[in-house]
Amino acid sequence: MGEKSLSHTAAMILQAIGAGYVYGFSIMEITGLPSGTVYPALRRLERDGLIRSQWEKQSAADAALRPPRKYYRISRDGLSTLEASQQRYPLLATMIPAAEEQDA
Amino acid sequence: MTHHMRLALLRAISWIVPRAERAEWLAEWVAELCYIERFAECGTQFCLGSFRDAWWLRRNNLHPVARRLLRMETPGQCLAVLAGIAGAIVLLVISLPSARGLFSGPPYREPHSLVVVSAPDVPYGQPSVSIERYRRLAAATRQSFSSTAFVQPATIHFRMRGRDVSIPIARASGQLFDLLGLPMTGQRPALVLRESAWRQLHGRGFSMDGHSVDSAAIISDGAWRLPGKFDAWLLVDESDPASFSGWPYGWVIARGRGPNPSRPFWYVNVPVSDEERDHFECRPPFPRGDMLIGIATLIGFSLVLLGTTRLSLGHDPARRNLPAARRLRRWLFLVVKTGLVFVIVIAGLSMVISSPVPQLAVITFILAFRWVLSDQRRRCPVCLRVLSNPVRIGRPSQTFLEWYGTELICSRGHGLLHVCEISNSCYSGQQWTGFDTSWSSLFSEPAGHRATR
Repeated sequence: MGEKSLSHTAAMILQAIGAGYVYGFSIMEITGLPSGTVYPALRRLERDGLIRSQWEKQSAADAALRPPRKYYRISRDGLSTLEASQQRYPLLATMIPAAEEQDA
Repeated sequence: MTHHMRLALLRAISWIVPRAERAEWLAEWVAELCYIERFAECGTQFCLGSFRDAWWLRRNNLHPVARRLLRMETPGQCLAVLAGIAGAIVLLVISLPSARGLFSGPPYREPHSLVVVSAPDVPYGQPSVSIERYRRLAAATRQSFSSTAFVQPATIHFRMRGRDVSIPIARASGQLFDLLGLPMTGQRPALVLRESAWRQLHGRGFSMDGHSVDSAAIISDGAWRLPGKFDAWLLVDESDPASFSGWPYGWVIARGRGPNPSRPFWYVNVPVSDEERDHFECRPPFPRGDMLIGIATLIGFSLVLLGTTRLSLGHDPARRNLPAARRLRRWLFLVVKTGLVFVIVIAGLSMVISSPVPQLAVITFILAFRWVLSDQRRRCPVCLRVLSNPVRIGRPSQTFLEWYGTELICSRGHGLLHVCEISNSCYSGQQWTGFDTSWSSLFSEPAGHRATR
């Protein structure tokens, strides 16, 4: 699959997922984008095969006393598109650090 | 907003999502909402964003035929969609009596000599004249008005099929409908019913003030174009002092002996005593200035259009090389499209407003015309199909200033449209570059076909 040219917003969201922010709300928090922008962008990225979604196991959700959440992972195509986007937008990685760095 | 209200909002919005994806969509948003409500205070804002997500899913799950139609790719599809919308709205307008009236004109005899008389400085349509003042006015203005009638709003209550029903009616002078010259079924009725009210109350008589009223006539739903909204008119003897008991104020409808003055309103004075005079404001309900308003609206539309809209359809150096038939077809398409859009606007406006408002009409026309121009600009000047495959050109800077232009191509290989984001020394608007036959190998159609278009 050829690399897709992403808009700045889509690239930020892909960068966030690649950096380990795998839930809709965590992506909203790190990018500062509203839900009305993040979720449609997630649908587009998933439709284009750049990310994949998966539901959390029910047992994990039950243990935390909340409904199971859907989380997103970057795909192989997504990784190569992200690399191309990082070249196009050199500040992406600086703006959205990896989730572990943020926690530290 | 409480958790339950947010859940209800999400459930309501989920109806926009296609059925196959609805359950999963709702589960994801509810799960995220539960998480957000624990750690943040933006739950409502978060839920409102779900609308865009749901709409995105709906838009991208349309049936391929519907999506192609909505894209209006070919000129035929564009005109068919616009004609369909225009036809549907016109049919709807025809079936709505209030909207139909805007086109057909008032159904009264000599409507331009009718006058609505009210107290001065009272908004038009508000009952403001008492029965005593009406009697003084009727007696003192016999030389100015050939006939006058009093209309007083009232409500009647009765039980129908086991429940209480109330309908707005008018007590009116017996000569009201003769004055208007309104055709109706029934002879010398005591009660006149609107057609839909008659259907609703079919087989019933009214009881007013303890007296049964059975003799009824019917008028069409859109026949009453004067102040007040009524389902029925109870015609009474205005010389009887008890006829207009109840609500203290009403309207006076009068018919002038000659044509009305060409003013929006004027005053009449009626002597009350040697020293005191009563003042009334006369306002024609159907002024003659419609043509003037139309011309003023047209001039206003043209001025605002020139000031706010770029009328150019784009620079096309090869335009003169196009055959005359192709150029004519392009202009014809623009004219027909404009006509259909204007029909949609006029019919649509007549459905939502009860009388033409020039300002609203101008704004709507401007927006509609801007769409017509932008649609024309995004089409190939040769085959009139929507241009496709947009490519952003240039390299964005490191400050995310994005690209400096976009190029679109005709899928049939007629040429390339350059749309610049920022005007520069090369391009100030959009520019069309026609392809010659040397490009034919890139497109499926033979070059000769394109060259002759």
